[in-house]
Amino acid sequence: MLSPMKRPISFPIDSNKLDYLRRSKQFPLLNTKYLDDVPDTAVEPFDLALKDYPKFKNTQAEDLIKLRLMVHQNELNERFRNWQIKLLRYIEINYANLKTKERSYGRPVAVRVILFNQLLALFVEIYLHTGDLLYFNTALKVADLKWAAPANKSPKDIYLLREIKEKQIEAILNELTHG
Amino acid sequence: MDKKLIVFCPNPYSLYTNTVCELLLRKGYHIELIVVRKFTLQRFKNEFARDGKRLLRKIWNKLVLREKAYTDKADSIVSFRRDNNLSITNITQFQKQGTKILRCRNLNDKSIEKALNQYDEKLVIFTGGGIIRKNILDRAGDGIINCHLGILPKYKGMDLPEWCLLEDEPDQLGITLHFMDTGIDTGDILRKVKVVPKQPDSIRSLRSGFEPVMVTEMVRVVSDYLNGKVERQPQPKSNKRQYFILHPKLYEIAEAKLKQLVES
Repeated sequence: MLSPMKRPISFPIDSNKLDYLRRSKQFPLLNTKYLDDVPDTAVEPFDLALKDYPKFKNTQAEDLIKLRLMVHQNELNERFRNWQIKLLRYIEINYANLKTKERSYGRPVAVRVILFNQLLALFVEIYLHTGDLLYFNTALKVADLKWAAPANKSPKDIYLLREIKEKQIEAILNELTHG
Repeated sequence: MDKKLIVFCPNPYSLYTNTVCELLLRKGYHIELIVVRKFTLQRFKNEFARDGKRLLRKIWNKLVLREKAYTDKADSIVSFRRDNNLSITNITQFQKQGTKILRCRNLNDKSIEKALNQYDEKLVIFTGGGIIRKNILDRAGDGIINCHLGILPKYKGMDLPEWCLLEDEPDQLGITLHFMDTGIDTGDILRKVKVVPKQPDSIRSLRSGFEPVMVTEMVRVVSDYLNGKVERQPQPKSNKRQYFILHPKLYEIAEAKLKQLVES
């Protein structure tokens, strides 16, 4: 089990919202802390089973959504931990060359944007669940990647996800600053 | 047979390297060889890829300004050198005492392997210069001693003083003298030393305050090791957590926490 570095921030959610969030495929709005309303984005459910971590170039947004669901359901098992450490290390170690690497992987820009915004969401949510600032630190770095920010052709959901995560980041920074 | 002392060094003007070497000489030790990295375009590219714009400030402070980079009156390697009348500022000056200098592009080059193979009994002191690979670690005799800017095994990686402050663990500020291995800060520990900040007004001056401790403890642990007064303690293998460079927004928060700590 991860040992929280600080007091973890728990987020309240009732069973109706939980079921609603599970049904959302592209944009599960997990973690409602700092949110007033949860927008309506219901779509079909998908297979929740998470495979072993592949290389980052083979990681898909769907994998990251599954990880976010696992955080939300507090299912932080060994497979989850392996994913989270590998993702963190990949981003941190390759941070200076991330854009070059992404280009070499040949992912379409739209897919890349969705992937990195789900990654941003995952890191923020890991922090909110465990209090581990390592993940918030990396989330800030992912948020700084201008080339990974939602672009003109991104789905509307991704803009909304980004906006929500930026709002959460601001609130977390405020809480860290003022105690 | 006496062990040969070999020092790995990032550049000829490194204040840390020169101070450690001069202190060792004063204690009566002979430094057999100093291995120093050359400045090359490839080195700059590699380090820039890793450190980004931080590298430019590092180059400016360490290579251009050198001692003049320390403009405040805080504890630092400069004040330590002044208080202890240490004067050597270029490793070439050690040649007068018979120390050989070997210049290389990378501390893992074949030329270093060849140089290390010349000595049966040796101890290497790491004062900077990049990651050391297995081919060099395997030829380093007793091993390569490093001074890590964090208390191991918990604080591995980078920006550790800042992380200690951010995680509200100022009592974990300190250094660890340890042998290097193929992992990141995972080698056998020789000594841990906690550092109590002396009213620093910034993280920069906090870090400067570590420098005198780093040089004195490095020299002390080398001497104690050679005299059999300190033993290697392996680290637990389970703890692989590693810290990374702090984002500027979190750095500001760490600095604010430092100021609160000093005021309280």
